[in-house]
Amino acid sequence: MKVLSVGKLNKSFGKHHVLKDISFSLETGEIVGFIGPNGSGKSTTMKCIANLIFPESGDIEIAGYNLRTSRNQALSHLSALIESPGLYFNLSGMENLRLFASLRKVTNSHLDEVIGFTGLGPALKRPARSYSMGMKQRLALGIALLPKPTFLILDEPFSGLDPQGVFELREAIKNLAAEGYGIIFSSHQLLEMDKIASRNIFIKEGRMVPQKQIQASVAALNYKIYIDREEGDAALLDKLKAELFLSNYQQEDNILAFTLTDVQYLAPVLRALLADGRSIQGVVPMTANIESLYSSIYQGA
Amino acid sequence: MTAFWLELKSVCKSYRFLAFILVLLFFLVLNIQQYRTESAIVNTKQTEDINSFLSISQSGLQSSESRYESFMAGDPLPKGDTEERRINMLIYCKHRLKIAEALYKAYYDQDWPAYNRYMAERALMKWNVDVKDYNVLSPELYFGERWNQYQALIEYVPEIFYSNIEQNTPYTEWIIFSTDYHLRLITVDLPPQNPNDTSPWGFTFNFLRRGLPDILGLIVLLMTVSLLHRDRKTGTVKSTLLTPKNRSYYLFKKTTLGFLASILVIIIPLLITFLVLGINSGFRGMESPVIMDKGLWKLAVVPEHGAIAKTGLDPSGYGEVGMSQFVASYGYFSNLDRLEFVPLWQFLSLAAILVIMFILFCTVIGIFISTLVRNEILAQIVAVGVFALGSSLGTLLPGIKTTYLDLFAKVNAVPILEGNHATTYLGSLSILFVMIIILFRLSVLVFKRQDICD
Repeated sequence: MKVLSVGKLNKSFGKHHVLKDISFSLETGEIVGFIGPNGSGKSTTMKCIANLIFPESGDIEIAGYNLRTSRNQALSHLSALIESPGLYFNLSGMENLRLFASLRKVTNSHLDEVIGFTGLGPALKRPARSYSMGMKQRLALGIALLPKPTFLILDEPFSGLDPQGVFELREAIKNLAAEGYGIIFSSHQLLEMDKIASRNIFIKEGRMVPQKQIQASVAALNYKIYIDREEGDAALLDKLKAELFLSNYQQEDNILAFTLTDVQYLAPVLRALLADGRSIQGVVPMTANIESLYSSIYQGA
Repeated sequence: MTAFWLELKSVCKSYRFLAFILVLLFFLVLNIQQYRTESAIVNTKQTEDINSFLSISQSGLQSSESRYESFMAGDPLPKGDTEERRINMLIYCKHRLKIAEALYKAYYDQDWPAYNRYMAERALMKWNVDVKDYNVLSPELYFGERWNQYQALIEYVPEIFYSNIEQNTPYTEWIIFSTDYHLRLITVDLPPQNPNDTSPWGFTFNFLRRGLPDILGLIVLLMTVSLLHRDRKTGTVKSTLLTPKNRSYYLFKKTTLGFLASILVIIIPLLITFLVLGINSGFRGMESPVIMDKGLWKLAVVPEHGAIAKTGLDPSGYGEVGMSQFVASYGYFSNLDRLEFVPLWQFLSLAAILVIMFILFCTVIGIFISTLVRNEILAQIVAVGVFALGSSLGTLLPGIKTTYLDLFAKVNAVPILEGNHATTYLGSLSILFVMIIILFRLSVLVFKRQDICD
């Protein structure tokens, strides 16, 4: 079941066009990672979905309700933790929970569940201002879970958490998805994202990176070939680039390393190198992990 | 409601809230000190008045007796003088000395019921001299049914008068109001008060006239202008707007919060001061008579301000009775038609409604500024600017001074209720109400279209 559908979202701040035709959807139980550098448009997209920012054009449907025409129904299916934890720091953790619980008309039994989920125990009686960043994040996540939403937006939920906190939160997110929540989340901790996201959406300069480009990047990362450096390298590289779609290369002391644009070129490249009398030092298969993919997409590496 | 009270608790636990309470408390203490200093001057003048009244009365009687003896010895009368006049003068002076001696004793013994009685009798003597010349207004006519009650408390001798004996008396209205004031004080058994009174009730009234208006608008503006920014800074604006409650609800809640927090900021120091002053000097005084526009308590009459139009609000023309002030209407007697004495609690109740409405007005301005200006420091600077401009508008544009357009002058609840502004009480309430609605609607319009990017 589709819990979120975003279609051709556009938003500008003054002359700066920050979102360009963003379109995607989210199914029940799916965890989608939002990836992109600072300023790429991740938070703006999330805020548009949360109705905090109004897009110039585009449609957002939450659990079948159009956000523009049926705001209240749509928002009743959503909960979010966007950027800062959004707490009343002069109040205790428990008072914060009670405050937001009363805004969402939450039952006492569910409130007790959320209290357990935060794991803050006796610390809930202390003012929120005295909490560590990790405790604030747990409390904020608890608040986000108060309304039993259909889907959750989590913007940088790992920020400030210690390794144990990251682990617990990762498990919590997985469990929530298993319970049927649709989850969109963003983080700069790419490895954590990779561990839990069903799929990732890459945003670059306000635009979603096309699936084709992502696939190409994945393919390009298949193998890395190492050969000894010789005098005729430049001519060889020109030939390989022209005929066999060599993507890029690095010179490391006496070694020349290059990667391919597609795995299908591996055999022809090896043949060409051997025909040129080159001694091949190694062929290393590359795993298309999220970090290498990230640098491939955003740094052109 | 749980959310609302918890949010209010959060606001009240902020350092800003505490700081404003301390500032106002400090301001109140300064005012009490100032009032006490000024009160000493007023007391000195009062003592001088009592002493000089006795001394004038003594010398007046001596002079009158010697003139009467000279007449009895057969000396010729000066031109225009008559035997009847000399006899009347002698009777008048004897009566006046009797009052002066009794007043002197009552004053130094601090026997306030007696003091009020003789002050009333002293003023009543002037009715025969001054009031009667202007209008056929006798105490019977002015006091109506109450006169029978008053006559049992004082000695009134209508026959005792000597025309032209004191031509330099102040306003006729003052004589009448002063008589009324002291007679009412006898019935409620209270000491006389003045504009520097530091009894708890008196101070509340005087502070409302002289101290609070200067600072009230600024406190409320600075208090409320930060509410939205605080939410933006902590991110609670996002948490709240993510709920299905709409943005109008959010602004309404913030306005109500700002309003209640401002009320608390003002009430808490006032209450502390009230209690401390009350412990020192007792809590009596809520029945003190003060002058107010006629009919306001019953809201039956919308007062007319013919007298103000004629006098042009000249401050030099203010008459003072007890803690009250009124714009003198000279020979028109219109003040007698449009003003009346009411117990202080009635006056303060109506004043509280106007002040509360003004606080709400300032709250809405604060909220409006914070929706328009996203930077907190800039918003506070704008709020101070709005306060400075609004408060001095009457000075910059004298044509609108204290009229319906002079919105920040609506905080002057005391002069408005006394009828000393060119605006009525109900008119002031109405204009504030309309402005509150307009400003709130504008805030909602702006906020509903605003991206929450913080």
